[in-house]
Amino acid sequence: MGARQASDDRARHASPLQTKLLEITQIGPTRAGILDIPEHRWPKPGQFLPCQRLSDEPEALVTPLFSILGHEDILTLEPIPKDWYPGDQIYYLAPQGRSFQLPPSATSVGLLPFGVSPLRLLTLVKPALAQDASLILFLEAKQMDLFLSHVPSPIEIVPLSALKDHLDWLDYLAADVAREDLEALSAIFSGSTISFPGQVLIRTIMPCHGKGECGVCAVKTIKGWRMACKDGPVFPLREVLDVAQ
Amino acid sequence: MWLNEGTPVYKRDLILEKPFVNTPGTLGYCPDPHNMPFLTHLGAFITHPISRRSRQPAKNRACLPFPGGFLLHTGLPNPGISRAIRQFRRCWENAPLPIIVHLLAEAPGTLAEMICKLEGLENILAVEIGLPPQCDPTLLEALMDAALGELPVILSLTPEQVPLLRSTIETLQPSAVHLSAPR
Repeated sequence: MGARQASDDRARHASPLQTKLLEITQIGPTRAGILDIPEHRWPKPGQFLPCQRLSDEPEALVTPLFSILGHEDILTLEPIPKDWYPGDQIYYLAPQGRSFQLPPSATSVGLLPFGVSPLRLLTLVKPALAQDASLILFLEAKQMDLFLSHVPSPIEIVPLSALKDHLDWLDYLAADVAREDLEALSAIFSGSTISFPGQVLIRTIMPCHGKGECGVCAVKTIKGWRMACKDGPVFPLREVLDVAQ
Repeated sequence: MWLNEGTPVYKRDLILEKPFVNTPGTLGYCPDPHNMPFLTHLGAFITHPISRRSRQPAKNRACLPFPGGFLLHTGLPNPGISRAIRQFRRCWENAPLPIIVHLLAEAPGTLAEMICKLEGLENILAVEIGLPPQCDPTLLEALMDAALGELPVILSLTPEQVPLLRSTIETLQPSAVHLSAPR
C-alpha cells in the first residue's frame, strides 16, 4: 500500500499542474514574478520549479524558476522570461533538484553571491534566523546599490574582498555562482582552509531538467561529472572547488 | 514494419507495435514510466547515444534556443558501452517497452565489439548506428558489415547525408533508416 502510494505520488509529480502568473516585479536586473502555487509545492532554497507558459509550443524548453527573497506567504520566483506577463497561465512540475541544507547547529552563516544577484540566497535568511544564526552577506561593491534595499536588517553586509578574514568565523557558507565562474570562485579560496560545511548553487542551463540526461548542465566534481539538474543544482562546496569545469 | 499475415517474418526484421519512437538523446538511457507518462504511445525507446569508451562533456557545452526548437552542444557525454550495460541492463530488461540502443559509430572494429556486448541482453529490439558526420559510402559499407549480427540494424543519419549515402543504403538494406539531427 505504501509503495503504491509512493508510486502514485511520483506519477502526480510528473504531471504538470496549472497556475497563473499574478504579478511581475523588477529587482535590480532581475525580472521576478509571483505565482499562485500552494505552499507545499514551493521550491526549497536552491531547488527549481520547471515551468512553461500554457500558450507556448509544447516542444519549447521549460524555464527553471528559483524562489527568491523568502518573504512569508508569497512565492516570488526568478528569472521570469521577458515575454511572460501577469495573467499568463503557467504549467509547472513539482520542485526539482537538491536544495541547500542548513546545518541545524550552524550559528554563523555566510551568504556568497559570486557575480550574481543575492536574491536566491536570501531565501536562507528565514531558516537561519529561525535557529538564531548570525548572517553575513558578502557583496561586491557594484551589487550594493542594486540590492541593498532587499536585504533584511538582521544581516551584516561585508565586502567580498573581506571574505578570507571571515572564514574562521563561519559555521556554514552558501554560495551562488554561474558555472563559468567556478574557477574564479575557486581562486578566491586558494590558500585558505575551509573547515566549515559549505554548499554552492551552480547556475547553468538545464534544458531537459533531468529527463534526457543531455549533459549540457554537467559539472565536474571530485567524484566525477555530475548533472546539475539531477545531482544539483546545489553541490557541496568542497566537491567543486579547484576541479569544476 | 507492420505485421502482415501474408509476409514472412525474419529474425532481423524490425517490428514495432506502435509507430512512434523518441529521438536519441532526448530521454536518457532508460525509460522511466513514473516521469514519462507518454511511454505508452511509443513502439520502442531509443537510448542516449553510447560510445565504446566513455566520453566527457564538451568544454563549450551550450543550449541555443531558437523559435520552434533548440540546438544542443553537449559532446554526447556517456559512460561507454561496458559501464552503460552494467548500469542499465536491469532497467532495460524490465522496461515496459522494447529498447533500441543507439551506438556512436567510430570505426567498424569498435562497432562490432559494442554490438557483440549487446546481443545477449534481454529486451533489446535493435541497435541504431549513429553515423559520423564524415561518413562516406565506403565507411558506411564497412560499418554495416560490422554491425550485422543477431539484432536488426537501424541507420541514423542526417538529411544532409542522404544524397551521398542513399544508393549505398539501398544496396545494404538496413532494417530501417532514422533521420535525425546532426551529431
